[in-house]
Amino acid sequence: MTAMETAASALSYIALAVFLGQLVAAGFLLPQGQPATLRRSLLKWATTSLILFLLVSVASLILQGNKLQRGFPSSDLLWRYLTLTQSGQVWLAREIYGALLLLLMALVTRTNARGNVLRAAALFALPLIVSRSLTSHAVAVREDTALAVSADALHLLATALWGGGLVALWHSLRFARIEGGESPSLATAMVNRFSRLALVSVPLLIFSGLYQSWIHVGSFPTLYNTDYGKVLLLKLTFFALMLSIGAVNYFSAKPLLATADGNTAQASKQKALRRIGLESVLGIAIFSSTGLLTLLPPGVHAVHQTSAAPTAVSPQPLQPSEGARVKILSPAPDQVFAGDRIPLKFSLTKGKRGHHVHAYIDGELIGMFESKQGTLNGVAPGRHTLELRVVAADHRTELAAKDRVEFVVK
Amino acid sequence: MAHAYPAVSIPNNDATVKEPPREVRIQFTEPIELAFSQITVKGAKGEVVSHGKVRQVANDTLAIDLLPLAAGSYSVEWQVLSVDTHITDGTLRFTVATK
Repeated sequence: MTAMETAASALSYIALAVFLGQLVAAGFLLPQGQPATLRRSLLKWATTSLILFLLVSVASLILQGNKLQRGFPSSDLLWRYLTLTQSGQVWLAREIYGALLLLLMALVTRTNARGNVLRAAALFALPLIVSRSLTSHAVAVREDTALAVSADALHLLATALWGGGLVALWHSLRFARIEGGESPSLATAMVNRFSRLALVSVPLLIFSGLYQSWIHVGSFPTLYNTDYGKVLLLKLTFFALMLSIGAVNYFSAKPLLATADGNTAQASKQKALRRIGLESVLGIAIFSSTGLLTLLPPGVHAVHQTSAAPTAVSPQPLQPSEGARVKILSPAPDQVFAGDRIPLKFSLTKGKRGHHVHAYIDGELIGMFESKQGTLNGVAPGRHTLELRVVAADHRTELAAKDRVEFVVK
Repeated sequence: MAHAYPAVSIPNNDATVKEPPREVRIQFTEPIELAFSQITVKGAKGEVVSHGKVRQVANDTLAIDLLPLAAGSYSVEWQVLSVDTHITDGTLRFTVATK
């Protein structure tokens, strides 16, 4: 099942990137006055990629249903999944949006649209790309979820623009070489425009990728001690190779294309085409490793995975605080509450080892909190003592950093 | 292949409690989808001692009510679907001490 899920996830990323890349190439990279056949070919690839994405999404839904039902999913189960879960609703909305885009693509192709219409179509493709973030690891991040989802969306978008754009560039140059008849400046113009796109995309994907690595991996040992970390390292290796080839293209092939005369132009184009093809293959390898990453537990969860069915907290002496501090801001001392839901607010200094807090009411552990506010549910009437203790990421090591307050529930 | 794990459970995993709990509550490491998540508590002979529907008391916390428990050991079987689409399951245990 995992291999099929990985393949589906990777194919989905590749299809989306190629879809966006071909549209961007048709709308933004292709110089005016180029043969309509090339534009039509780009649109044909874009439409095929979109159809592939929609079909792979259906396969992914069936795989998900298969896991939930432990057998081929019934229509009832699928309907419940699509209507009652956040990920199901996102799937449904994305599939409907994708089908509408398919209609748009048919219209654009039939009317032989160009210019602003193609640019608009490329912009309409963006929500389809970024919506993947709404079912990614980012959406399950407990703290700063909106920031994590935004970073994931930005990363997906930048990667799709770079990787998908490369495939489109390779497609265009190869198409022009086979079909012939392109203006001599086609390769130069497209490479120049793509370079500008890459110069924006690459820094964006590096910074958003670094942020995601930080929240999903957390530490260097996690990078090489967990499956997630190892696959991420593999992805980074592919990325470094791709970036190196891109740099060679930018600093050597691009000037060569611009200055080549008739005799050398063909050889320069051939060389550039090979390098761009290699870059595209590496891009596909990156998308494949990304597909696997979406299925692996993030490295920061390794501590939970290794202690499956964990003893959540074992009584043990509090460890040195090492700079960690916690201060309860709500409830206030002796505050009286009418209901059983007690709003909790606190300030937390994590120090060297602190990660989150455990909340105890009258000495009994009742929950953990990573964000600095939450709700204590189901507190019985009476006078209670709330104690917060700072805990390390392993959920076991409680630090000598705590605060205590008494409150009353009527 | 799993993502949401119990971070805190009440009763604690492997704990021995003096008073029989009236519910089991599990806080997971990620927000979860109630519609495809379940908790079943069983006694030593496999009899189900939980009753009613699983409740979602916070986006990452589930609870289920228990029948009055006698002294003995109990297992808490859980399966959840996290919001990032992954399914996890596992078993926690606790014991009610003899008075």
